[in-house]
Amino acid sequence: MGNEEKVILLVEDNADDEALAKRAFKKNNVMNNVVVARDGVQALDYLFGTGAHAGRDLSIMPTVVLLDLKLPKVDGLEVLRRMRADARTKLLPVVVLTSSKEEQDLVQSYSLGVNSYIRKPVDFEQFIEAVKQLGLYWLVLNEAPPRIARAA
Amino acid sequence: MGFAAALLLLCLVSIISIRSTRALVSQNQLEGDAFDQLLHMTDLVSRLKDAETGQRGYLLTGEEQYLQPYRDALTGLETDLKSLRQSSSNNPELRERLNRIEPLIRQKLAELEQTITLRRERGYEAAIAVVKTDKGRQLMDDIRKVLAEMRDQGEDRVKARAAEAAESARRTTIVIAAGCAVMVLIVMVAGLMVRRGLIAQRTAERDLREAEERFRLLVASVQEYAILMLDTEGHVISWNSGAERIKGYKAHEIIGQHFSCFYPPEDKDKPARELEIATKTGRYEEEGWRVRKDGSRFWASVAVCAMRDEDGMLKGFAKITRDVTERKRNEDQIRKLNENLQNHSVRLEAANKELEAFSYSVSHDLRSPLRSIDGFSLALMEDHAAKLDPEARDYLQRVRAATKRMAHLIDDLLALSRVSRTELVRKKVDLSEAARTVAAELQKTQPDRQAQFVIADGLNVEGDPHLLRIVLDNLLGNAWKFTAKRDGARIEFGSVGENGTRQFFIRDNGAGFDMSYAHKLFGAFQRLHANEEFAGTGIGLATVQRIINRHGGRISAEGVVGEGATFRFSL
Repeated sequence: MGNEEKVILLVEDNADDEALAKRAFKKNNVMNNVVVARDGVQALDYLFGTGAHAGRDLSIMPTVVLLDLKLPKVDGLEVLRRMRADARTKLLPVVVLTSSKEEQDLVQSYSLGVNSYIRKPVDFEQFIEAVKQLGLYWLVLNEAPPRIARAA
Repeated sequence: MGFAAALLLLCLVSIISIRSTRALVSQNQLEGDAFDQLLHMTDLVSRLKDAETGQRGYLLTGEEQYLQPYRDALTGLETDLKSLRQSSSNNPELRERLNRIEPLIRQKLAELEQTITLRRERGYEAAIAVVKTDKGRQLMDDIRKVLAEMRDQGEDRVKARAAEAAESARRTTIVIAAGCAVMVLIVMVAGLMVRRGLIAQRTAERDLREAEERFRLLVASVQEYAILMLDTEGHVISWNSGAERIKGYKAHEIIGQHFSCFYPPEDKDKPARELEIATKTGRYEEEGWRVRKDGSRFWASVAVCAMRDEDGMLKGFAKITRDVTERKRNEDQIRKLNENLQNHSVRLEAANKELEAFSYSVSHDLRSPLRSIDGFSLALMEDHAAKLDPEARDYLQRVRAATKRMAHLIDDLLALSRVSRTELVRKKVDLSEAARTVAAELQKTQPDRQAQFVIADGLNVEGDPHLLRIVLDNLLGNAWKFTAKRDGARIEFGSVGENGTRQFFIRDNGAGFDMSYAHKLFGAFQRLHANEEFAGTGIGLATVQRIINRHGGRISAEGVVGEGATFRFSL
């Protein structure tokens, strides 16, 4: 476990949740590079190499995107939509990690092509467990989609 | 039909009678003729005799005066012969005899003339000489013979004619008698038929009178409807008790008045228009305000029909009025209530939407801080365990426990609100099956616990599968929870009663509860036990009650402290 090449994009506006998530990764020896985006705009900037992340090497794409739905500026569903609309990010695995169990969120996310939907448990121990399972699954077990050939 | 036949018969009889009579008359005529002939023939002889007498007289005396009878006789003979000739026109026998006798008579007359001329010119002797020849006497005998024949024949004929006439008379009498008999018969039959017709007419008249009486009674006794008749101008010509009741006028006050007095002042031109339409199309119907005798108004349902006779002539109008003020008031009320209902449901929609938005934000926003609290408490405990003394650790544990409870509360609250919001789905649900599933899951949470589940079979109902599952989760979960401290825990799920009165029950032999607090059981957040004894939020039963109520059922509970509790519900 712990291939430094694999990047995790964590899109989360809540600083507490971010800290806790990072701690959970560490606890589970998920040593990957965790990139944090605080809102939808930052997330898209990173993915497409725009704005604050202009000039980024786009050949390096996250192995998995952990996406919260409630985000300022551009919300999670919109990010998801844009990801699925662009050939470069269309196939990237996205896991929605949100506190909402509202059916409408579920339906919308799956309609937009999310790969997985996980509800953030309040109980932190469960959260750690969830993160461990996520890591195990998406980083180790899951076959990542092939890298898109470097398009200029 | 019979009348024509009778008439025909009458004519026939008359014709036959007339013909018979005519035949009789002509027969008589013929008889008369025959008799006449006979007379004439006898006349001939006497005339000849007269002629002879005259001749004899002259011959004897030679005096001219004795020739007078002779000359008269000659004239008479000519007349007789002429008439006989005439009669013989249709009698060939007579003609034949006349032909025989006439020359003989002429010869005789010639002889007489000869003797007379001789006496005149030569004297007595010459004339007698001719007489003595007996030629005259011979001629007379011949003539007499022929005449006798003719007379016999004539007599025969007269007899025959008389017989025929008698026969004809007899026949005529019979015919006339028969005809009279027939006519009498016809008259009798006619008389009978007329009588029968009269009786029938009288019966029909009586039936008609009775029917009219009945109809009059019918109309008069109807109280609910005002049934009245108007003439072609619109004046009231009949009134019933319903009209008196509804409009207030008594019959004698209103008959003859124009029906426009029933209309309020603003509808002045309505009456005329109503009659016009009824005349044109046959009827006019409407609902509108009408005025009673005392001036009060009422909402009327009115129908005006044009009455026409068999030829299609307008005879008048029938008007039927009903006081539907009550109905109109009810209708208006219903409409108003419906409007209110509309408004209410619109507001309800809006309220529901607000609630949804609220729930949505609750599920996100409230949980977040909870997670932080719990997470960092744990982080503290784990990462800085060395710096924390037991008391500090204890405090942190309480903090964590509290956050967990809060999370449960939020979940339950959300569930409760969702229960109220969502549409009730009606499907066949096997409660036995669902209960077994719940029991299995409960058992899994504490695999070491020995608890007995007794679940009846075939508990099928119609309802929302998801919500009913929540009910079972809660009730069985409660039973499981409150029997935790008992060995030999027994949880039973079954039903009593049939179809309409079916009741389901969940019985446990756990901690039970104090009945004096039973009314608090289903209140939200109400608890009868401290949290240390039995964990719980106090929302479960409120949710269960909400669900049962939405299915149109009721729920109740009994309990005995230390012995157990039974929850009953119907759907």
